[in-house]
Amino acid sequence: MSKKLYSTEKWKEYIKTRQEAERRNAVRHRKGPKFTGTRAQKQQALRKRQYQTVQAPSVFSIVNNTNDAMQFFTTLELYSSRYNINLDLSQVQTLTTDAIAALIATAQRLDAVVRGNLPNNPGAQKMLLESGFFKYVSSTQPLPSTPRGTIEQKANTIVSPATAKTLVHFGTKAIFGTSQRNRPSYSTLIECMANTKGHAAGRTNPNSRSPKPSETWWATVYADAGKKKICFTFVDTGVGIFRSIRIRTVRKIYDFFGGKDDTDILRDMLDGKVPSSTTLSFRGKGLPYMKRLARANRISSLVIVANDVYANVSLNKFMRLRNSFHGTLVYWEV
Amino acid sequence: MKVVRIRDFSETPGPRAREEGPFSGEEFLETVFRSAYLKAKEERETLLVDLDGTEGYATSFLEATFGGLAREFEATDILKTLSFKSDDEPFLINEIKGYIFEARNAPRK
Repeated sequence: MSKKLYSTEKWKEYIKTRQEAERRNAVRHRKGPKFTGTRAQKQQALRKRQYQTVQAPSVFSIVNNTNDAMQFFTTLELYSSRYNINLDLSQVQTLTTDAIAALIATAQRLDAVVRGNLPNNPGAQKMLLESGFFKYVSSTQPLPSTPRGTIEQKANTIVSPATAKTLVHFGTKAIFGTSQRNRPSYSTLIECMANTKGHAAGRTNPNSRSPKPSETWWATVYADAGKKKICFTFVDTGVGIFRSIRIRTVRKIYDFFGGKDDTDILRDMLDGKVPSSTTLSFRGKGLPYMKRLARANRISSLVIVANDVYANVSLNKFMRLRNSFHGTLVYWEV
Repeated sequence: MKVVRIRDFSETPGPRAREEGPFSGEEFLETVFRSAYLKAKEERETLLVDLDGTEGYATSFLEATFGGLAREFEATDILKTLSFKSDDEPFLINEIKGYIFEARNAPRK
């Protein structure tokens, strides 16, 4: 498929409609497994599917090229319901770790086999190899051996203080030469993990005795020696902030009293004006705290992407996205 | 004066509740902090809470610990009994006092 086709208005409208249908399907899917066969049967069925190639944008970065990246993820979601996926990363010229983390998290969540190739650009290629991307996504070409680089990636379903410490110390050692504490980044990582543990898996039946489903989160640290910065990305592919039950109710109230949209809700959440999805007044302090850290310049370039909202909290720039992100992504630098 | 060092509980404080992960505020309150507070109050001593020497804190850990205590006992008594040391992040002291004040209005356990 050419890039030109999916930049047309008609295609965008089509994608938007499909995306909404996919979301509805996903909600239905949560109520019970669609596939009733064994795991092996499911794998066999998946292997029989045809592959569809999806080309990544040349600037593959959620933080810096949000709309194109979201378009890519939406296309990925769309095709994955019927096909296995061939990720064509060959034309990627600029690659950032937030996009890699989101791509790994999404590939793990999709009900499809996902494989990919290497970018032709040497810098992007090096970054992809160092990220450990091909530990999670199989490669369509032989891979050169890569030494342990400046990227560390971790995943879990619970709040893991040990992992937060490992990531922070990995980043500080790569940049400063010695392993050090960075309390704002540690706090932000724990806040994000707790948020995923508490909210990302969405609605559960209060009468059910089964444990609350857990969503996997992915956290990446990248030591950018050129800029002397440590870049953190945290991703979960759960329901996202605006699909959580409480916020859906809040949105209805906002709609009723003046047509405010999700960007306004996120703004208010960051200001501590919207109670958390637990409805307990003493919760929901994580986002306001992260905003205070950004305002005090203890972390920089704080970006939050959740569903259809992009927020560069450090620059106070909020925008609605044409295509929704399935989950929540938080990016910051120190 | 009695002293509670959070780093003695863990250098990597975790989330709010035990079910969310290890070294939670709930665990700290139940295993260390509540008894230390009660003992200090009974003996009319000041309890110094030393916040330094850890990797950092999530708001949920601090709220569960200090807000959690204030949902069980009188906030004014707590503020009379506790004092804080936080050289690494001095602003945390005001955050914590805020949690204690806020918890006064929350329903008691």
